[in-house]
Amino acid sequence: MTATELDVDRTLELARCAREPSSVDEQRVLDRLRSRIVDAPEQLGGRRVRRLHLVRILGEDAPTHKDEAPPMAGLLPGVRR
Amino acid sequence: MQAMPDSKRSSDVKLDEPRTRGASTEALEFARLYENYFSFTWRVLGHLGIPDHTLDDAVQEVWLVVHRRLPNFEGRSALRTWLFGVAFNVARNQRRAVSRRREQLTDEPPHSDSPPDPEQIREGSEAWERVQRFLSTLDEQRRAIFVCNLLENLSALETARATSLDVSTVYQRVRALRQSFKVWLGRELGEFGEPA
Repeated sequence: MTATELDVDRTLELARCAREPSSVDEQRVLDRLRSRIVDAPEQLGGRRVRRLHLVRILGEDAPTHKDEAPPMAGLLPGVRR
Repeated sequence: MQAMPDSKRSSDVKLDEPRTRGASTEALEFARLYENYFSFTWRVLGHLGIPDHTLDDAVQEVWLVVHRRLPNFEGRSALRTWLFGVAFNVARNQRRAVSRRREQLTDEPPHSDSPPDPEQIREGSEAWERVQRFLSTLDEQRRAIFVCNLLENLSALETARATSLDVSTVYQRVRALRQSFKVWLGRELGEFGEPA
């Protein structure tokens, strides 16, 4: 049997659409991402300020403004190291 | 300039003034990128052979890299090209790690964990599995070209940048890959019946 160009296009499009993540997938990865960013800051290359901004945007329990300059670099209140 | 959802699949966006952004702006851009391109990275990793049970880890790794490198993104390439490159490297690293552990990564079509919508899912799953079987016959570079250009519809120029090839090579390989896939699909349809 010979496939047509239409068969090719349709198969490719169906295959692409078949792997769309759900909103649950997106939120689950976001939660894990947030957890890793907060729990393992060294993996972010020491970019503490940007990390804190990210946490503020992504996290419901984000640090307050004054938390952005803690006396001990790399330590966030309530954050496990 | 604003990022557009990858579902719109139009020409890509570039970040404005990457060298002068503040931390807050960067965080906003990251959040917007995540919202608009999460699906793209998820799909690409799946097509590059990351199985469902490690897909979360791989996608997470991609976005950690994006977060780390975003301040240095100079906008020389389109965002999807850049993200594809990050995803490609993450997929390759995961493959190598798995290979070192002598585990099989994914020559078998991955199984979806998503809840089904019967007819649509059936068609989509069949197409997905067919494409995965074909992809499993390709080497890493050709697989990347196929995913980048034929599945995700990045342009030849974007594909060339994402795969570090020249454009003429990409054009040649895309034509050859499409033809190979057409022949291969014809055999599949002959063996298994109707198209997906």
